[in-house]
Amino acid sequence: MRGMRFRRLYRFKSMQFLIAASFTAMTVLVVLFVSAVLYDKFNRTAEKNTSLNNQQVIYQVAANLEYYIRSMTTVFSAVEQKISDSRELPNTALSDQLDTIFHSREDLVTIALFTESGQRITSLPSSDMRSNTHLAAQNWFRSTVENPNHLSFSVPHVQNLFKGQYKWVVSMSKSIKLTVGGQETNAVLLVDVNFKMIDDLSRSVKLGQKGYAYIIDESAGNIIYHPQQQLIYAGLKYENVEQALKYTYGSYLDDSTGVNRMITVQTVNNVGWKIVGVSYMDEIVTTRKEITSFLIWLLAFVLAFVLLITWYMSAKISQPIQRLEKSMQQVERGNFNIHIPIRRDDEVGRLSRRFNLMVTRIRELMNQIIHEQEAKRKSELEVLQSQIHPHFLYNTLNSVVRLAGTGKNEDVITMITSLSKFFRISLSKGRHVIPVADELEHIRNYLIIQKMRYKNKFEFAIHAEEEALDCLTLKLVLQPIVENAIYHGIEPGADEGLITISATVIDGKLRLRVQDDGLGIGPDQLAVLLSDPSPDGQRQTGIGLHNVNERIRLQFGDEFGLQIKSEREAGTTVDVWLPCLREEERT
Amino acid sequence: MKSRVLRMAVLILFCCALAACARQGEIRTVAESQKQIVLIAQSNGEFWSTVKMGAEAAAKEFDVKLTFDAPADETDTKTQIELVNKYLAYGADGLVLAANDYKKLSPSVAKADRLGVPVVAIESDIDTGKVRSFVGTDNYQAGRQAAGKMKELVGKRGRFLILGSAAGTRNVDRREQGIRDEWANDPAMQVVATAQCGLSSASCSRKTQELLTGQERIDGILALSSSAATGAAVQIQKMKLAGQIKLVAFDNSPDELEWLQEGIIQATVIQNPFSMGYLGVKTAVESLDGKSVEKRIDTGAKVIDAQSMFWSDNQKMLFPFVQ
Repeated sequence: MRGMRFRRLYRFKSMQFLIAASFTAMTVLVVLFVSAVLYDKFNRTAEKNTSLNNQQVIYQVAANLEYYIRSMTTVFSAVEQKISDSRELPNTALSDQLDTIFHSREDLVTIALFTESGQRITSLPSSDMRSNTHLAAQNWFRSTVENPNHLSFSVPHVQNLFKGQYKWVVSMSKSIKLTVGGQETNAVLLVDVNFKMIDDLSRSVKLGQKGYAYIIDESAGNIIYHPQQQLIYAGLKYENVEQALKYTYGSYLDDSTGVNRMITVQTVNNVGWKIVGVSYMDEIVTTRKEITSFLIWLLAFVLAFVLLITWYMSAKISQPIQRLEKSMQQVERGNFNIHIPIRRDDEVGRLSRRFNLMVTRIRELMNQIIHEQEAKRKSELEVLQSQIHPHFLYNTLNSVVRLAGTGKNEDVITMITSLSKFFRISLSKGRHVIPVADELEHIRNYLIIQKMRYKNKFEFAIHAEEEALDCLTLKLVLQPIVENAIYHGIEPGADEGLITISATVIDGKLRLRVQDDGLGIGPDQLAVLLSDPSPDGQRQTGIGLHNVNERIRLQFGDEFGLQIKSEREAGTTVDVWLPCLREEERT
Repeated sequence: MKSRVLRMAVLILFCCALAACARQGEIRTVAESQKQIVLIAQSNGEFWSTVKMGAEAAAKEFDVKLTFDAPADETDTKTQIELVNKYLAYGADGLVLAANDYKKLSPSVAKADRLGVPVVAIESDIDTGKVRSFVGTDNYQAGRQAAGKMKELVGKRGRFLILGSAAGTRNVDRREQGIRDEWANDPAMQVVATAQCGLSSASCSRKTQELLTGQERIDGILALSSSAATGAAVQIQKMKLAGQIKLVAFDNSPDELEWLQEGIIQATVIQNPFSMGYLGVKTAVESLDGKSVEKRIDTGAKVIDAQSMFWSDNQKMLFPFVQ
């Protein structure tokens, strides 16, 4: 039962499925579209935000670095000032002052003064110098000689001047004039700075989880500082410096290292360095993944919700229709005893009401047909009975015996002949419909017999229009009427009566008229004469008339049948209205 | 009517459950526990601190927790085996091992392999097929490079001493083999003696003195370890034979670099300890992730002399970056 119900609910061609499927498809499409738009929008915003954020961070670092370099320049100027202020070199006062400066900062590695030929004048630390320093060949020394009076910054290198230390430094150097032993000479002032501050600055950069910043030299693209310097030096890591060199500031996407990264460049003024920020796109992608999973959840949720709703809604829409369909199926199988309960006054409700009306009407019509068929069979049976009419035959034969007894042979012959004719037409080869001429002949024989039986208690006359004779009539319609006229109209009366029978065609309809001048029928009796006989059989009279009327109306319709006019003491006229059908039209 | 109410209730319940599920999904974050990689070095010397720096760089890049440990002495095999067992018991996810002994560490590696802990050997190879990868210098090739440089320095003819630190050390043996093979077809290049002088430069200095005084004329010394190199350099300085006896060394300890700049050591063959540390951890992480890794990764060796030591590229190799 449940299984069947389930299968019925998910028939693929059902309206319910159609509604549910189209609704779901539409919702999914809309949700997908919205998701895609949201995702795209989010993506762009995330990328833009990252770019902006990175630029801000890198700008901040650049500003800090610039500030640091300015402060180092200030230190350099201070040292330079102290040296030019002292008249004689080296002297202890100057050494003390320089020592103070040297130890006040932990990022100073060397303060040293050399002659242009590379001889040490004074230095901090004051430890022994190594041999093989190739001092004059070193870059920082050469650039001061080439650009006098200009403070130059070197690329990072290992300072190899003093025993006991090999330190990575950036050298600040400048060629200055000073007096040594009373003689003015050119000298080179060197201040070496280690990477402590630069490292601190760079490490403070937060560009996502994995992002970092590095510093390059603007002119040659040398990497000055990189948090993963060793990896770069060992050739395990590669930075696409050429691309970064093209930018003064700004952001771009780079995948030259195999990973999608966002590069942000900012130039540091007055040293010719550039800070390059690197952030990893897959971190944006991480948040992107979160959004994706959120959207997937949303989609699943909406889908489940919509599925339930549409399942419920489509069931609600299609179930009444399915009920209607089932009821129709029942009707199709012949069960008309069906009534659909109407729950609401919507389209289906109205349709159900119409359906109910239709079924009721069909049921009524069917009942009527059954009833009519029954009535027809019954009246045909009665006709059959009236064809034989045993009581009449018995009476007639008694009369014949009496006549024969009294020797009235003429009358016996007449009576027997009439009886024979009467029965021939009564039977008329089993046909129901006979020409008016035969019907009139039949009634004439009947009247002859009855007249002899009632000892000329009445006279009769039969008139027929030529036209009416060819018309067809149900057989034996006149006999019950005439029988009534004799028994109830003429016989009870004291006087001799007259029965007139006529056949006329009026407006294409055939009228057979039986007229007597007997007692007549009272208006109260007249009123019930043609109505249905009561089931308890109280009313004995007029059953014949009623039957004739029913037979005609069943055969030809309600516009035909009997019409009775009667007046007390004046007689009764019974008109039998029939369609004037002729032999050739009958079929 | 009743069933409709029931259906509605089920529907609402289902929706609530869904919503709950969705919220749960949001709360759940990526708090995956970090993998722990243990680096067990041979000692805490200069060379190994550079290895450690490389390992730390890799640990940061691949988001793993790095634990560094080493016995006090390069010959202390027993302590190293204990360290391996200790960290396996602590539940290390991966092991980067610079073995003190070619053979004695192999059961430890096999044990780690049984526990499903990948082992990457760095610097010194281990006599087992269970290591996932070996990351280090091809010492045989480095020996040949050193021999080639010596030949260039002395002018294609000479008598030489080979000075190692301890007998049976595989790396040193491989270097010596490289030197001998390089000169195998050259009778002009003659190895007079091979000696082991221990781990301190003082003992190596004494050994050098012994060898030099007993011999005729020696044109060059090949010092296969940094202690042998500094010992020999000190002795050459003392005997004022700088330049007359060419000294070709291995590695780049600060002492060796001082002697190199002073001109006592003519050339040194340097390894790449930073790369060893970095690639060791990287390879361990990769094999933890189930990726296939190369069985041998050569980090390369380079000959540096006094002229080239301050070239920009070589500076980067010689001087580990320290503030």
